[in-house]
Amino acid sequence: MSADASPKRERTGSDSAAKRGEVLFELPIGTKGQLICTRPKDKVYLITFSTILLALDIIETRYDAGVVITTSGIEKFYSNGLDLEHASFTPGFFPDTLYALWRRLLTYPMPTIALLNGHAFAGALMLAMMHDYRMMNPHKGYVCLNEVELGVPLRPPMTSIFRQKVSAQTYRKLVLEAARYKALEAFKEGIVDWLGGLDEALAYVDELKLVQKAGKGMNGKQVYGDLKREMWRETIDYLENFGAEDGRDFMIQARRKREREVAEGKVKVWEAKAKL
Amino acid sequence: MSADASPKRERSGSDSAAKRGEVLFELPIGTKGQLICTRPKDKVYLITFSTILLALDIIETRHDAGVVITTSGIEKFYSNGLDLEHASFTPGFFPDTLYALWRRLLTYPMPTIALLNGHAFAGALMLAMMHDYRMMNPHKGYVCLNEVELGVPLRPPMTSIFRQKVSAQTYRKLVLEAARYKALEAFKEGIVDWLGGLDEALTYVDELKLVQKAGKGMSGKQVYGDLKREMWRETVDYLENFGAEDGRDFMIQARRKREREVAEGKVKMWEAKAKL
Repeated sequence: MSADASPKRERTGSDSAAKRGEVLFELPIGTKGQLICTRPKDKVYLITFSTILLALDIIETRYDAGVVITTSGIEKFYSNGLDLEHASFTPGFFPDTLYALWRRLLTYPMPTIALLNGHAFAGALMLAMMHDYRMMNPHKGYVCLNEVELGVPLRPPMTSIFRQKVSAQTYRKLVLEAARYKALEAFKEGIVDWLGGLDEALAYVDELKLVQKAGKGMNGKQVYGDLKREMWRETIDYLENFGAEDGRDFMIQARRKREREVAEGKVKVWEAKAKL
Repeated sequence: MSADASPKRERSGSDSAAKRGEVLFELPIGTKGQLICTRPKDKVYLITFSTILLALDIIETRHDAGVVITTSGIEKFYSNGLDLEHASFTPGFFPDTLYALWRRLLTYPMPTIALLNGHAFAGALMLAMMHDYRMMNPHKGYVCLNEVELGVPLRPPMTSIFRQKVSAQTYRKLVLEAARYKALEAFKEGIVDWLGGLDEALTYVDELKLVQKAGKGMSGKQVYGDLKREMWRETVDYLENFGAEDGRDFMIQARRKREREVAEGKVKMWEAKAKL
């Protein structure tokens, strides 16, 4: 089952297939979906997805080290985010599927670019944040984290990635205000890094020599993935130690319950005095 | 005993009582002080304080979810900060009184605004940082952390909240330079969020729809406090696990003593060689 809930439709092809380069491989998703991996230029792999774990494995083991760009086959959305019902009722969904995907991206041994062709809300924005860079379509789409409006808490890895990658003020606006950002504001706040589409992404790949960053360094070792694992250590620890979180959640809930009982008691005492 | 040491005087009333809204309740503080909670508009609670824990409990258990604004009854200061003598000589002061207050604010299930009507130094600024937002009088008062000048160390939760909420450069200026910020500079550095008084705060409450943020989300659950607890996890952990800090402090002191002895030894050896 896909890690996100983009509707499983065929790509509506706003970029011509030729521009996206030679097709390297295709993976079926369920009965109706499809993932296509193309190569728009040498050592740049473009995954048009709704799940990408196997694609990432194929690229790492069968192709030269380079840069991975992910984008959506659906024009309106980078991703729809989590299918909350599916996520809540599928045992092991979070650790086995979602966290596995995020952990893989966050530590992937090649530069990763999320090419936001459209909206990225909640889980979709989190997915984008797990990439090294975010490119956004300047004319289309919003990003936001609307959990406070949904009444859904954010789990530790979800909030941790923002704490690590954006400023405290932006973090607060995203989490506590569910602010909806258009591309230009998202760019100013550092939520996305660049504005444009695939062509601009490829230009940045050249400018920043990102393909070379994935290669072996002068000592013969490739360290890109190790560097990322250490940089984003806090989030990775949460992604890997989700078991500890359940215990912590339980203790927090129990403590909150006790605190509310104590607060209620104190207020009753105050009310009783006030009546005297 | 109050958690801070604002002189226990009556409010000198620079804002007219009427503007501050209907009085919901009043709490005596010691023999001379007073806390007043008013409602300047629907679901906005204004606490004029020197202690606020019980007020926060009353609001949470007896009133509709909304927004809490705290400000001082003394014209010159938001708060004087810690009464260091009292704090040092009252057993359990830090965990039972001060940390309890900070923890409560940091995880309070409604948006909180610190309305800085005047100076906020040291403990007063820390208290303000435990709120979600800070509004400062543009014409009056300074904020700073002057512990380095007092020769007093900052305990983990004190320094942690700044590390989480301001940039590294601002953090360093505050802690290591005891920089005194007037309102406009504090605003530019992100220490305070807005400039103005109560009227402006109420406008932001409307603009950002803060009252609604405290309400139930579409899932039927109210998650504002949970989101905050997760966001500011590092500081909340320090506030809750102060016991571990005492052991750590002791070990650090012991290690520093050993390191200085070793350093002294090495320098003596070098001096002896230099004389040959």
